[in-house]
Amino acid sequence: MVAGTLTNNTTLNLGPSDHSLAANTTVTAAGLANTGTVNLFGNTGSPAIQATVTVNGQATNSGTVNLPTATSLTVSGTGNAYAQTAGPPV
Amino acid sequence: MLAAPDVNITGGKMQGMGMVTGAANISGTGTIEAIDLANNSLPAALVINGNYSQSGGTFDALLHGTGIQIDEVNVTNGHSVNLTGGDIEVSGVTFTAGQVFEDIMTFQPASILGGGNGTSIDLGNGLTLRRSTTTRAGTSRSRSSLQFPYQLP
Repeated sequence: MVAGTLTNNTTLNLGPSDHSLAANTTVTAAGLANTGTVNLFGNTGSPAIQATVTVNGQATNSGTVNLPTATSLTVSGTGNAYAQTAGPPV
Repeated sequence: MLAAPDVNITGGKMQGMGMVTGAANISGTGTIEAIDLANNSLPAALVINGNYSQSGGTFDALLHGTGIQIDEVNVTNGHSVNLTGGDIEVSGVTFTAGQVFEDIMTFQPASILGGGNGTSIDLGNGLTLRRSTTTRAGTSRSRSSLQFPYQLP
């Protein structure tokens, strides 16, 4: 858990890039501010093993957030939003 | 999956396949595109489980020839589509008169708001973006879609 805003301006990987994640993994933060690259790597086996980022606040992205299969980015809370202001894909 | 009460794309590009849960709002210089980034010759559905609004920005669509379209933005039933601005940019084919392409977006019938007369949007130069409703055989599900480009009769 990240008590404050998760700020990334370089590269942040959640899970191994060879998609061998062994257990469901969640990172929770009060906010997200990304100007770099966030990569989530789940395990697409059966059953799938999820790599998850939960943001209980505002999430802003002007970089890249990659969400392949078996991953998710969830922004919770009334009035909160995922805001992409620049950058390539989600 | 991306889930948020509001997914506001005001710049950059939301691109790929899978599920977006929440209201998707495209404006400014934001772009949306359904595409399989690993292999763009494979089908890709970008599902919006929420209301879709576009007041600016760009809806990108890679066409795969006439008669079939494998990349779609699908807005799920119970949600509206509100088109008040922005551009549609299509690529992948060389256009000739009379061609009809399949769906680039699907949504619940009668859920489209704005951007025309409720049936079609005049794109100019003899092209319209047409809303069509179909009921698939063997199911009770009906849907509407945006087809582009549609040659005016």
